[in-house]
Amino acid sequence: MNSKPHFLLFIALVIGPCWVHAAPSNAATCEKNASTLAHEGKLDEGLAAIRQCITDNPSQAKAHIVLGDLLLEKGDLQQAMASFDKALELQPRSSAAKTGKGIILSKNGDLKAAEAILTDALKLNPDPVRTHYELGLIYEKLGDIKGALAHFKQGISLYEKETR
Amino acid sequence: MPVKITTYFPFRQKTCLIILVMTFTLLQSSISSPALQSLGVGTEGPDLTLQDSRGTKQKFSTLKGDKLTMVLFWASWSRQSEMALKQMEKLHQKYKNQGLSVVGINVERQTIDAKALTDIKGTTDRLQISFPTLVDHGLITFHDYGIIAVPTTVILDKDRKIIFEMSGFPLVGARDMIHFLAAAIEGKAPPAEVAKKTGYQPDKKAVRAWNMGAKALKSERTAHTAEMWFKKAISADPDFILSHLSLGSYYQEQGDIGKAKEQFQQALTRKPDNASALSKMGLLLLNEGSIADARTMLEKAIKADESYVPSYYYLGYLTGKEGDMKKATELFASAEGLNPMDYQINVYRGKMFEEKNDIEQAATSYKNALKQLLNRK
Repeated sequence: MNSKPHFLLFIALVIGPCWVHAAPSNAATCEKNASTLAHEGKLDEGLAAIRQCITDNPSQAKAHIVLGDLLLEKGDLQQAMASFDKALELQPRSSAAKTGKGIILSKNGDLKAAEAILTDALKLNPDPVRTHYELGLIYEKLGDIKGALAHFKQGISLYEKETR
Repeated sequence: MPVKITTYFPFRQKTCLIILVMTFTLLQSSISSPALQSLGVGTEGPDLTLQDSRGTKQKFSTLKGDKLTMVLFWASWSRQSEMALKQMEKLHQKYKNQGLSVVGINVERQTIDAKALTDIKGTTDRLQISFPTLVDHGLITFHDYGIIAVPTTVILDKDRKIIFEMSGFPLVGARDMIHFLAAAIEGKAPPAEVAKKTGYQPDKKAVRAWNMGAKALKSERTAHTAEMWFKKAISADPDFILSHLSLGSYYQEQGDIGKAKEQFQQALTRKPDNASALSKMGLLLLNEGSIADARTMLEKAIKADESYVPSYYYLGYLTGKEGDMKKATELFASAEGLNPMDYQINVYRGKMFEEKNDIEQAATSYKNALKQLLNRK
């Protein structure tokens, strides 16, 4: 009996799942490295790194969100918005991408649209500390100080619960 | 008729009296003060990998001394850091060939930009610091160690076990630290007074059990076992204050204030000048409305350790509640002078304003606290 097909099937069964899992894991490492560079003050290097991650793996919504966040940090609101839009195309229920869009809308002065998308993000988000902060800022700008205070307090409380 | 102090103490004597009082105050700052939020003598210091000022990554394992490693957390904005850096340089020169490694960790601010790097380099060049200085980007090591005030000195053995901790740079504390270090490096016996303060090392079984409790608290699934581990630690070594404080804080989170108080009291019975125990007890008393007792505890905490930041903002909150906003502002400012990265300063300021119905100021304070937390992420 020729054992070669069995051997190839065995290889496919054992290595195959690892191969499938390797892409997201490598992508996660790639995104983390880019974020770390930016965190260390090397924003341009971080941007170059995350763009390379996207070139290598363009279907990862998370990479587009990281790019959006870094562009936001750099002050390039237009490009950041395009990145968050791309992330939402790939993952329409991404709370992080919606939060990013909300921040840009708020910075552009469209407070009502920002409030709507951030409230939407809050419903989806299992980690809404940042969203509470942004909503607090919007309520503060809208003159609803009690609403702002409630969101800031809620954000602090959630952060403490997460990191306990 | 009331007698004026100058009647008994004319100018020269009055000056002497002031010097005497100041000396006494400085002597109050003892070495036994807790410098780390959730670690302490006997526990393992977290590992670290940080960049030096040229951007090269450095690991603890390559920097550590053959015998001891002295880590100084410092910042150019902190008044006492300069004094501490100068002293560390002297110790580095004296003991670098005898097994001591000195490492400076700059904790300037959350995000280090080009200006911050210039400030750091400016300080180390001006003071001619020759030991390695690392930069804590994102304050990760700062939070891992739970630094309460800047500067903070931590001495670790070759297995990274914490054998000494000191927050701030108090006169007597620094002197004791030098004696302690000389004894450890040169194998000499420290002066009896220093040995009494620094000689205690917790039982290993107690530290192991405490570590298990601290780890258990990090997961919701295992958090309920923390009580058992802290109790085991106490039974292995009742003098291991950290176990009482951790068990007390655990009970406090569970809402069992009676048991929390009991643990903080146990800690105070063993170490009446422990600023952490005094502050925790002060806050419990404040929350239950025993304002006068709370004030006594918190004032005692500040007297016992002028670098223990929570005592200042708890007392600031209390003072504001009582209506003395000027004094409260000063206390919050003192806390910020010691550790502007502690978000709880803004939380307690927010609570104070909220209770005074100053919603605008309260919202601003909470906003600042949340911003500090988000910067950590």
